[in-house]
Order: sequence, then structure tokens, then C-alpha cells
Amino acid sequence: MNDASSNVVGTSMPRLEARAKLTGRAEYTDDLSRTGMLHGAVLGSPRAHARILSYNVDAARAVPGVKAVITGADYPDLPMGCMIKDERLLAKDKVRYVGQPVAAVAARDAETARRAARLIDIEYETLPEVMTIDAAMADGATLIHEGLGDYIKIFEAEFAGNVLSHQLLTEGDVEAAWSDCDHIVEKVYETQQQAHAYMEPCAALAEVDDTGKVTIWSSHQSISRVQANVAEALGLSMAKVRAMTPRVGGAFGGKMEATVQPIVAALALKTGKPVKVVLSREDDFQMIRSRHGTRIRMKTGAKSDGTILAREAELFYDAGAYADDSAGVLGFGLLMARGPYNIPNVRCEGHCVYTNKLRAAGFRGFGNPQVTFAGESQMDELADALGMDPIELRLKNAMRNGDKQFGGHTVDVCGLVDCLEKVRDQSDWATRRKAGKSNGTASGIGVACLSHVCGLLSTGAIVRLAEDGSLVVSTGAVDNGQGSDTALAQICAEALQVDVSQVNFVAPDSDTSPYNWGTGASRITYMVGRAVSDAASEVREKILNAASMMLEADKADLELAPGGKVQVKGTDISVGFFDVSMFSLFGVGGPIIGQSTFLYDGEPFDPKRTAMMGFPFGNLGVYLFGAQAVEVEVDEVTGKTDVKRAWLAHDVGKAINPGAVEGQIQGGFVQGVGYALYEELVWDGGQLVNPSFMDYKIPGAHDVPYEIHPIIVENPEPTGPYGARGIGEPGFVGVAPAIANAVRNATGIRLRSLPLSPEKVLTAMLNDDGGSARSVGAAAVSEYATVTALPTAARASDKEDLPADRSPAVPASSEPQAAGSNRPTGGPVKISPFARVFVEGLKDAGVSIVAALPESLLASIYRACEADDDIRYIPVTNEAELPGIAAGAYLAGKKAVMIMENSGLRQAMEPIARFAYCHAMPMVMVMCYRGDLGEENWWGHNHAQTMAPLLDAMRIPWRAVRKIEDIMPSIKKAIKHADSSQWPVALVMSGECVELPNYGKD
Amino acid sequence: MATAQLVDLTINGEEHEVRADGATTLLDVLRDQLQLNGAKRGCNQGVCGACNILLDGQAVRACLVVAGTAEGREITTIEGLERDGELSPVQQAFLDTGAVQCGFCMPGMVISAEALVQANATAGVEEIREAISGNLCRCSGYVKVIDAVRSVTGG
Repeated sequence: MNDASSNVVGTSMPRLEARAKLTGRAEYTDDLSRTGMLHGAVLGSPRAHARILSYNVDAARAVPGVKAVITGADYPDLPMGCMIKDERLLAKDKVRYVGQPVAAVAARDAETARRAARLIDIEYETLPEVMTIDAAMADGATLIHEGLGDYIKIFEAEFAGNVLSHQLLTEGDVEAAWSDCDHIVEKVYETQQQAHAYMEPCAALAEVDDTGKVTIWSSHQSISRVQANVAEALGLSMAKVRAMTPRVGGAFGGKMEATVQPIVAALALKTGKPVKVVLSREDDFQMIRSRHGTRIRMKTGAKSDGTILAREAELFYDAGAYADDSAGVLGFGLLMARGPYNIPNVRCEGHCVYTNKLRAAGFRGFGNPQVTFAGESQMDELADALGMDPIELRLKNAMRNGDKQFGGHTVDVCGLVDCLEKVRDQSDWATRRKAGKSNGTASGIGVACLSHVCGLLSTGAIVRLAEDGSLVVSTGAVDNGQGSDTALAQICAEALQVDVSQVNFVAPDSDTSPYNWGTGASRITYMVGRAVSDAASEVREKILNAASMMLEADKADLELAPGGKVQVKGTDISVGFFDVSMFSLFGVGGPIIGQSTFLYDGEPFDPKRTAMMGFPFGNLGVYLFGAQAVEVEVDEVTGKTDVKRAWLAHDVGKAINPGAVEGQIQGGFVQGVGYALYEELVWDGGQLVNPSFMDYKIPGAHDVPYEIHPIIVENPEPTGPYGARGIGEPGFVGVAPAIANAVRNATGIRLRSLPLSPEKVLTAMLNDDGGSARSVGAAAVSEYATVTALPTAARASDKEDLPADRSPAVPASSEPQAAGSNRPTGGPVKISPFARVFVEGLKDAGVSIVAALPESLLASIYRACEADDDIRYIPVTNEAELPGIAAGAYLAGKKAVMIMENSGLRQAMEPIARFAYCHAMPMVMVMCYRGDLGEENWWGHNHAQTMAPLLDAMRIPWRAVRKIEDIMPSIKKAIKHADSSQWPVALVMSGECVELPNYGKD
Repeated sequence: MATAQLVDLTINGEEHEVRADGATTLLDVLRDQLQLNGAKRGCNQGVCGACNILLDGQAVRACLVVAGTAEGREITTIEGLERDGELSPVQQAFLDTGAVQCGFCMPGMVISAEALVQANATAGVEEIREAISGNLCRCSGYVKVIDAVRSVTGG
């Protein structure tokens, strides 16, 4: 490929455009301006699911400065969509998610456009909202896309009802294999929707010329996809659509399909003027796209020696309101569900489901992170069951050179073991694995392996020799910030032995660039790098041809020399590229142009080995491998997980620009920490609750460690440019399971639901009954759904107990303990009828924790709580323990009712009241007095003199309860009041109602 | 809408006369009237830090500064850090260390780093993290940003 040794590939040269970005001169879409430009605003739907009955745009049109108002009704029915054509330019007839674009305005300034948009009056007929996978798949569920059957689909989709894609991949015979397994683990994992949260909100600027040709500049990952989406949405020929990207402020998959470009183009066509739309951050959160939330049932079986025989996975991916590239995300998730292990029997089934939410689409990892969270968590659970070290288990089953991926591809070069061993050694795994506690924190380390892919679809490149002998490189590759402009320029410079300053890497432009699917699937270095390298080779050949004529030498005796020259081997005789160019332009041959064009051409899937139903991919790409280890510290009081260090080994084949590769690994890791610990899009019915950086937390400098070790592993890829493979996505893929495994190592808690928020960790620790894990035998398997059954109605997180457990070490013969119960030992307990009713009442009111002194006057009630499996009774020896318990309960989302009595009233009540007041905790304090409220009791306390002023000063509402029959209704009302006002409430119970029959004698 | 007034602002050592009413922010003025587009609008809510500029040497969010209140004060934007075409030491360090990826957060990030270095020329890792803790970056993971500032402070 090159005649002399490498001089620029493999160096961490600064990005070509770094200086411009650091001086503020780099232009992003909102920095662009055109003469006479108008500003646009997009109106989003306020309903999650509704029919559009009518539009009234008169008020909007009347606003001074408004030049155009458009709605879906103004446009013909032109379907668009990358895999299933289920959408339109603007909503037509129906809206399917809150925030869906329904109308748009162009005006002289952005503020006027926004104001006018708010005046557009649209009448809706609300339809039932379908907000979860279970609701969407239930019998008789409302259909979100009634016409799904008639939609054009670009692949052989299996679909039904709200399921837009049902897919199945199988190898071997999973059913037969279970009986050969000595250990089987089967669990359900859940992952949340994540927002891309690129720093530059979506934006586009469109301008129309006198021939009706639309030029669009936008923040996007693919000029080809912009061109296609605008042409399709508006019914234009691509000859009339030109797409370009200025600098792009991050994308991560959220800008792979249409954002606002078709709408902006429509406004430009309508007004005849350039129009720019820049979404507000809030609109960007609500309108565009997210990562799929999922539920995954995974089952793995192995022999006692650790050989894994079978893997079964059932995936449910929540696609949101439009299909976008969801079928691809599901398909890729299924393909990755076996993990990078030689498991011979595999069955992976998936459903991708419409719901009335923001659509989910590609996002760094493309369906793999979810399934890797499940798989790599399960690997550790299996290692536990087998009594093996997690790395030992992985090494035993890891793919190696020549092994086959799920799907039948042979991986000639597999660097997985290399990566895993490096991570084990550099992290000092054995030492850190011992874990430890100090000062209220528990530390531990966890590992995850990953595989991914780079490649996909087609691309091309054109390299030209300019008149002066410098080079021009034209590709359709968009640099989102990952550094592809620079890497590709380095490849061209290396191929032709020139300095990078002699390479003019031109901006992508659909008018001049060859087709490139887009910047995604970690594919630019590999796919476009190959194309650039091949095109440069063609240029090299033509240069040598010209030189051979100029020097009257055999081509075989010529070679390129550094600095843009052709030299006769072994001599000083040479001719420069400038001369070669002059010769070709004015002498013989014509301009020297090299080109390359190809569709990923690796081994196809093997239908004799892997049965595939509904799978949308023909061929994919080159497989990538990596291993990640993360050390964490968990705060045992708050449940907060701190990531302390990470070792991230990725086999990139050849790092074209090592600094850029490190940056991608570090950045992917940090985004993965956000996914694992902090980030979650939260819904209240159909409304997104946190469309803002204030409420949707992405990691800042304080939230991640400085000590992140990217370990670049280089086992060259035979087909890659200089041996290179991709790195854009892998850094993200293994982070969540590595952290979950580390939390398990540190605390003994296994969490199967992302994010691992402090609330979840704390709840799990509070519910923890101690003991070590035990293997789940075949008997436990039956509690889970079979492969063909629909998922059960309730999401695990709807119940009190989140999917976290720490199985107690209980002998097989005894009953499993209910979470939180403290069954007293010994014979049956005598409970008074009143106490039983009291406790039923507490349960009915949703109380789940009762904390009190056991030697107190209300012993009967406490004994009843103790005996009840649904109420966790915490005996305390000192009232001072109560505030801490209340805090823990509150953080865990439980309702706490504090029952306190005479004997320690002032000492107990005051600190608890103050605590509740300071933290605005919705707690109910039940204070029981012997004797009547106004009189002095036998301790000499008079409520009126002591507690009332204190409660009043803290504005804690209290009411007196004097009758027995008022006790439970008052407690229930108080709980409701506390819940709704998020404030403590007190009940003061007089001796009359507390002086129960047989009081203290039970 | 309140009537706009003419306000005098000193930006990067130069005098500018701009129109501002009670709701006009410094970010609006920089981008919409002066085409000083280095400061970016990442959230317009004061959270992301992409709009950071120096106001009398302190890093502040331009999207939270009412333009009129900046009259008579010294405003420095990313465009004002260069001297005669030479990058400032902080800018050069970011370039050399490979801290820049998509670059959208960079003007604000560099401003925060400049403010730190001016106040504490030998800042260490924890002080650097604190100084950039108000600048969200979705690309870099912050490691090379900290590396860059350390190369200037020696901390």
C-alpha cells in the first residue's frame, strides 16, 4: 500500500479544525446566516395520542412579521421513514407523541415565530394513550399505527398490532441443551430511555434558488440521509436537493435521520426566502429521539466446569411513536445477545413495539448496550453460581481467532482475550476484587466484555491531484466531532507519502461527494478510510504511469518518495507531483483522478447455521472486541455510586490517530457512566417530565474519575486501512454491566435495572437480609415467562420491590423469606383483634414500615406488625434511631409512620419533628398520650405546653384524635395529606382512644 | 415588550453600541447583533456552560446576564483570547492535547479554564475539575480537558 515507512498514520496530530473550534471561528448551523433570512419555529403536539380535527391559523398568520404558517394539512400524503415509511413531513390526521411536530411558522425573527406558533389553534380528539410495552402488546390494545400493514417496508418485516418488528435468530438446539447444563441462570433486566444530549441542539438552514433547488445546511450525521429525507418528505427529485453540514456539535445517533430539515425546507419553499430553525433544548429533548428502553429476559446454562452450552434471550424494545431505525436496533441487539463467547446453542427473539412516546432510534451502541447489560450481568451471576472468578469464566468461553460470531461470520482476528488479559493485569484485578469497606463506603471492581461491529452499507471516495500537485479528498463522511476529517486526511497523506498540509479534505456536500450512508456504526475510519486508501492507490498508479512516461522508465522501477515525488528506485532521479500534474493536464492523459466505491463485502450470514426471521440486515461489518473494568465506591448511607477508576481495552487494529482513539474511548466511557448511574427520561403519562439539563443529569467533571485508562490494543484487521477498525461506539457498550458488577462486588447487591440510582441501591441494601448468593436451580426457572408468552402486565418497578435481590443463604427446605419480614421465632403470637384491625388499616393506607420501641404501651400493635409479612417492623432501642430510619424509608420511596409515646415524647418527638421539617419529609408522626390531651399525664407532661408550640412553629399541621374509631381514618387522611403536600403531619392521640381494652395485657 | 435602549458594551477591548431591553441577554447581543458567535446557545437556561464569557475576569453564563447590566464592565469572549494571531497558552494546550472533539462546548470550557489560570496559576486536578464542573461536555469525558489545563499550570 505504501512504498516507505509510516510517517503520519499512527501519530496523534491535532484535529484539522481544532484551531477554528478553539477561537470561536468554527461555524455550526446556528452561526450561519443568509441574506434575507427568516427564522422558524416548530409547534409540537400537546397530546400523546389524538386525532387532529381542525386547524385555525388565522391568529398566527396575523402576527406582524409572520411570513408563513404551515400544517400537515397543507401537504400531500407523502410517506417517509428509513425502514418503515410511517411518518410525514408534519403530523397528518393523527399525533402520536407529545412534542410531535404539527405545524411551523417562518417569521422575521425567532421570537415572533415562536409567539405566532403558540397562537395556532388545533382541535384534537384525544385517543387512549399507550405508554408501555405491556400496554401496547396487550390483547385489544389501541393501535397506534392502524395502517401498519400497508406501510412500505424496506425489509421483510414480521409485524402485528403495535409490534412493528418481530425477529428470531436461532443456532443449534437450545431446548435440548438445558438438560445438559449443571447450572442455569434466568433473570429479567430493564434499561431506561436515554437522551443523546449532544451539546448542539438540532438546527437547519434552507434556501431555495430560482430553479427551485433547495440547499440545506444542518447539524447532522449524514448528507445522504438529509437529501433522501427532504426529497421523500416533499416529493422532490434529489437533483433539487443539496445537503451540506457545517461543523456538527455532537450527534451520537440522534441526528442520523430527519430532525427539522424537511420542515425547514418546506418553509423555505413556501416563503421563497432562506429560513433557519434552531430548536430550544426543551424542544430538542421532546421532539427528536432517544435510546430504546428495554426489558430483556435472559437465560444462560453451563456445565460445572464453566463451559457455557446455551443462551436464550427475549428482547422487548420500546420504539416510541415512529419506527425510524428501530428494526435495525432490535436486530443488532439480537445479534449481539449471545455475547463474544462460543456458545453453540442460542435462541434470541425480539419484539419492537410502538408506544405513544418520543421515538427511540440509533444511539451509540445501536441496541447492543442494553443486551450487553443483561448478558454481562448474567455472566457474573453465572460465575457466582459456578464459584468461578468472573474473568476466569469469560476466558474459558471467549471467542478467539477463527471462531464464529452468532450468525456464522468467521472472525479471523479476535482480540478479545488480549483485551481481557490486559484489563485484568493493568487493573490489578485480584487485589481490587477482594473489595472492602471503610468509613461508610464499600469498594469493588467489576468487568464486562463486549463485541460490536464496524462497517455497514456503502460508501465511496474521490481523490484528485490538484494542478500544483497537492491533493483533494472528497467523501460523504461527516465529522461529528469524532475526528474523521483528520483521520481520513492522515490516511490519504500516508498513502501518497505527502505531508497532511498538502491534503485538502473537503467538506461533505451532496452535490459533489460520493454517496456515504452516514457517520454511524463506528464505520468511517474503516469504510471511508478503505475507500480513501483505495482511491489514493488509484491516484498513485496514475502518477506512476505519468512518471514512467516522463522519466522514460519502467513503472516497476519507480516508487513514491516522501514529499510528493516519484523516484527511480535506488537513484536520485525523481519528478515531483507538480510536474506530474502539469504533464497530465497539458501533455498526456488528462486530470489524475482516483476513485473507490464499495458496499461492505465481508462474509454474509450463514443460513445453514443460523435461522433468521424478520432480520433486517443482509451483511454487516467487521467485528470489534473489547473489555472494560471499573472500580467503584458505594456510599452505604446514601446508596450513591462513585466511579473511581476504569481500564478500557479495545482492539482497534491500528490507531490511525491514537489521541483521537483515546478521546473516543474516554468519551464513550463517560457517556456510559451517565447511562449506568444518572440518566433517565421520565414520563408522567404522555408528558416527558425532565426535558432540561437541570432535571436530566448528564455527567459533569465532578461525576466521573480523572483516572480513565484507555488501553489501545492493535491486532491488525486484514481488510482495514492500515489494519484499522472502528472505535466510535465500543467505549460505551460495556460500561453499565461493568459498573453493576462492581456494585455487586462492593455491596453484595445485584441490580438488574438501569440506572443504578442511589434510591435503587439504597432500597436494595435496606431490603438486604444478609447471606451469600446461591445458585438458581431448575426449579426456580418456572417463575418466569416462557418464550412464547406475552410479558406480564406489571412492570417490576411498578411494584414496591424493584428488581434487586440478594438471595439469602437459606437451606433448600425452608420457606423463602418475604422481603422485609422479621418473622418471630417460637409459637404463634397472640394478637388482639384491635391490633389486627389497626395493622390492616396501616397496610391499607400503604404503610410498609413501622418503627417503634417494642417495650412500649402499644406492644400489642407492635407485635401485630411484627407478625405481618407485608409490614417491615423495625424494633429500636433508642428514639434517636428513628430519624435515620425515617430518612432511609423516605429515600426508598416507602411510607413511614412513626408511632411514639409518652415516655420519650419530648426527647423523641422534637428531633424527629425537626428532621422531618428540615427535609420536608412527608412523614406521619403519631403521638400517643396517656391521659387526656389537656391534662398533665403521670410523667408530668402536658401536650398543650410542650409539643403544640413546637409543631406550630414548624408549621407541621396536627390534629387531635380522641376516639378509637377515628384512629385509622385519621391515619389514612394524614398519610394522604402528607403525600400530597410533601410535608410532615402529626396526629396526637389522647389516652382515651389509646387506653384500649386489655391494654398491655395481650 | 419593553422598549429597547441603546447600551454601550466593551467587548474584547472594543466599544460596541447595541440595542437591549430588560429581557435581552448578553448571549443574544453577542450572537444576534455582533456576530460574535463563539459563545454557543446549548440550553439557554444557565446549565451547560457553552455560553460562558469573562465578565471582569470572572467566568459567567452569557445567557443569564441581562445585557444592560454589563455596561461599563470588561467583557471577554473566546474571540478575545488570541493576541496577534497567537493562541493563548490555554487555547494552545487544548489544541496540542487533543481535548477538542465536536468543539461545541469548547469556547465556554476554554473561558472557564482561562478564568482559573488567571486566578490560580498552579491549579491542580481537583481545582481544575471544580473550575470546569459547570461546563458540560458530551464528547471528551473531561480527561484530556484536565490534561490540557494541567499542562499549563503544571498542577
